[in-house]
Amino acid sequence: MADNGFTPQPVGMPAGPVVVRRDRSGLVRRWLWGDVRSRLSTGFLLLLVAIALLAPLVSRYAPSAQDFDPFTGPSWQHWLGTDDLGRDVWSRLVYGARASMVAAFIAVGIALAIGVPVGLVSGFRGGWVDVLLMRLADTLLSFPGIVIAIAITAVLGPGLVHSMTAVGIVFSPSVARVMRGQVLVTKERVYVEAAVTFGSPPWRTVLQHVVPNSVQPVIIQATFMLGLAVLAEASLSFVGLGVQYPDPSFGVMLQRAAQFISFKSSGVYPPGLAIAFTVLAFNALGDGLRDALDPVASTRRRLRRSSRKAKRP
Amino acid sequence: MGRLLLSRAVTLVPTLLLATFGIFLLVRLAPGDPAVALAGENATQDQIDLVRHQQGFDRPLVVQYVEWLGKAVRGDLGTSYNNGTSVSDAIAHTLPTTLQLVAGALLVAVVAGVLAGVAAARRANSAADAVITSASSAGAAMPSFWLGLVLVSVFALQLEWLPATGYVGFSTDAGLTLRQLVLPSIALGVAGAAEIARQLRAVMIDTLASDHVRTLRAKGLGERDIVWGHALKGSAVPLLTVVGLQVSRFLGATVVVEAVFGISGIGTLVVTAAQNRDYPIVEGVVVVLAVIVVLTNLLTDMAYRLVDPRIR
Amino acid sequence: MSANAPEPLLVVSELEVRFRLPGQREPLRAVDGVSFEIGASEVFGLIGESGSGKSSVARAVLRLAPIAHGSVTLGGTRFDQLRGRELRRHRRRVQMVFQDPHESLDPRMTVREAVREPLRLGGGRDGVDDRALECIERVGLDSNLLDRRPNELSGGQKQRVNIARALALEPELLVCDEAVSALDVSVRAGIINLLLSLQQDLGISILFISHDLGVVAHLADRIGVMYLGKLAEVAPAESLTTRPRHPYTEALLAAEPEARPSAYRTPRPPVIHGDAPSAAHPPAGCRFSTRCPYVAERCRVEEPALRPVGPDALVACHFAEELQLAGRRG
Repeated sequence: MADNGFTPQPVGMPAGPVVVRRDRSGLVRRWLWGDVRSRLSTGFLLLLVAIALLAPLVSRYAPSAQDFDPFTGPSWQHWLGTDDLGRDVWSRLVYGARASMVAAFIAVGIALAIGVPVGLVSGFRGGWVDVLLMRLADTLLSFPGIVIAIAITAVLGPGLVHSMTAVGIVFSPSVARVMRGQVLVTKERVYVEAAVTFGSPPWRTVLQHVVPNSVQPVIIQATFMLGLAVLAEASLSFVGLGVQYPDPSFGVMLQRAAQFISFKSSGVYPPGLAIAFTVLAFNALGDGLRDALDPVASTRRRLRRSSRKAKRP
Repeated sequence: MGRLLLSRAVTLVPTLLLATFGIFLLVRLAPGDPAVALAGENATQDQIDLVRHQQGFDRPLVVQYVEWLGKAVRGDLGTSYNNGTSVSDAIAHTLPTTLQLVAGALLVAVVAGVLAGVAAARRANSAADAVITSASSAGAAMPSFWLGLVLVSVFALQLEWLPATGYVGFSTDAGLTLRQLVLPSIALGVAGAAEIARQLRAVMIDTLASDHVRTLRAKGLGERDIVWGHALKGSAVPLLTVVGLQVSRFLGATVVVEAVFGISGIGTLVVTAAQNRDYPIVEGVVVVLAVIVVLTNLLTDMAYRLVDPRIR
Repeated sequence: MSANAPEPLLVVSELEVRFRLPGQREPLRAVDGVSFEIGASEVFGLIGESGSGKSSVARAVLRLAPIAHGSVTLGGTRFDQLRGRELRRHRRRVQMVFQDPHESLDPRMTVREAVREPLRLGGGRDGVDDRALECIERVGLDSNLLDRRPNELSGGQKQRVNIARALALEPELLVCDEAVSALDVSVRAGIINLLLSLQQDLGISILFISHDLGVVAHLADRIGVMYLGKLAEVAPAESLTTRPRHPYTEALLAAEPEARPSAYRTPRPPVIHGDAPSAAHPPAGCRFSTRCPYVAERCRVEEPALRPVGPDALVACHFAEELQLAGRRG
């Protein structure tokens, strides 16, 4: 996260194909009862989504209403105080949450829309197509993502949709790699061969057997990516290329707070902490999903953690 | 070694070509007609056509790319749309600043990371280790620009130990510049330090438990010599890998950190250019960064071979 | 050599299957010239050690492995030459039951969906559910299993689902590739008996591949013995087990474990000496010459052809007529 959202491989994400859990039933049930962290983070995220959706109801004033004293601290009328133009920080934060969540989903949506088909084709076809596509992906991944995103945004023009599309494009190679890895494993499975013996045409075999059994790691990665996308939005909006001021978003609020930091240095905390908690929540959710889907590796992790604790004198 | 280096360099050329062609293509695909932008708002159709012809926009894409490539290799990266300055000049003006910042961040990352990693490895599974490990997780999770803001808020504004923003340059005032670089370097470098600490700790724990080290201990070699002499050398290769990765990450993160600290480096340059749809500058910056990334990979490779002669 | 009907259902002629190994110039000849026939409603067993090529024969018949040479004719049609949509249309005529019951089923599909899949592909839309139910019940499974997923079934149940699914398209030939090898011994009998009764009821032919001679002898009408990519002997099950004509067959029969502990009181010397040669570099002459207890000079030089010996057997051995080989003890 140090590079503000553009790390291609989220921390803890397996580099190779993931053991796909064989049974799908009870997945949700198992994960919900599993880890306290998962449950907490799911709760937090649901709350966040609710707040974002219900923004007009949850905020107390309009995000652009400037009728108040600037730079006040937390009070009964203004739970988080007011900003440089006297706007209520809580209200702006609520609407900002909405913008940031939308931004994250746009970016991840685009990344999946590009990455999944590319990974599918690359893994299933193999041969020179695979080599070419993966070389392209690796090249893209070796550059600082934010710079590529800025370049793409320069071409498309600033704004929420354009900048997050650029972020989605930057994220797509790692989606493609994960998908390809899983497809390589899945296409060798006996049930895929069985489908061939029934006379299933290739496109149908792919859609019915290969894709559904390959998407689980992609879903996990998408969850981590949502967190990274929130960070990316914050970075790009901070430099003026994402959400455009005066529309609120976590990044825009951070930028304004930074500009007026000498007047109210605490202004950076509401958006900053909001970002931090959102990212941590998405990470915890991703961890929880990954453990629920791959109980073998999760047991190993748990044993490693507890053995470390046991070794302490 | 020279031959190996050459062969590695040769394989990196296609990467560079691919990257530069990619960005070239991207910019040419942009909506809007650059000829119109250059000619100005009140230009007549003839004037626009003239500009288009002068700039070569009416030639086939591949020809344009080859021409551009030829100029780029000679150091001419075109001229800015906005104020007509040479792109190479603009970059030459701002790149050193960024490089100084990245160097500072690397210093912070390596020093703090190695110290923390070694400390954690030596006291593996103790309370101190847990503290260091959680601190690095927190450090890794924090976006650098927020860390920068917090640092400014605490150290510059409240404690007034260090300047908040600005960068004057070593030629103007070396002392002030150094102080100006402290907070940004920390902001940029902390996450790198966390990553280095994490990796180094893992590798060192294995190394310190190895038979080789046990033999050294049995021979009576002091713990300090073992840790800093042998174990660290053994961890050099993965360490180099992580450090190499950090350079690329820093180059990205610098974009935002420069904005926080008001430093006009290459990050600020490209952001401003993006806001103004000044494509030649964007192109130029991407190309220069691509070259830097490729060079870093090359250097890391060389360093591998120097450190561990066993590698191919 | 066909059992009942005059026209054989499956004719495999000079079949060759090769695999390219990474780093080797010479391809591995997994199947190196194999010919046999299966008649309608006949059970043909194909046995051999691992590496004998028997699974490759099965996969070639199903067009799952590339055929380097030779032909596979199914009821008059050159099955090996079909492609594209034509091939897909003909595929329903030969179906396979794979070795691993669990891997054969898509973990995300219920039993109902798994059995419906081939039916849907066959083109039917109506009556698919009824047909699926029929298939499930015919293999001895209860209809309440229809909504279960593979991880909720036992090994035997899964294999029955695989059989149901394979039979859904009413194939003419069913290929079982080690179909019971991965099951508990106690479960095997049930599956074997199921296959037998299905074969009798539906009149399909079965190509049953296994390394276990005991199982195959129980099931098959005729048996083919494969060694290192070629057939050593083909004969009716009864005569193969009581009066084998190839030294390798004799050795296989001798190696079968017996249920009488007294038989093991005196240690018995192994009938075969040495290890199997690598399939990538078969020995010159007869392939079995390196391990054959009856080997002669001629065997090392000249490769014996598969030829008729006696009333009903095909044997690839120079001395098939002379050798008096021992069949099953007791």
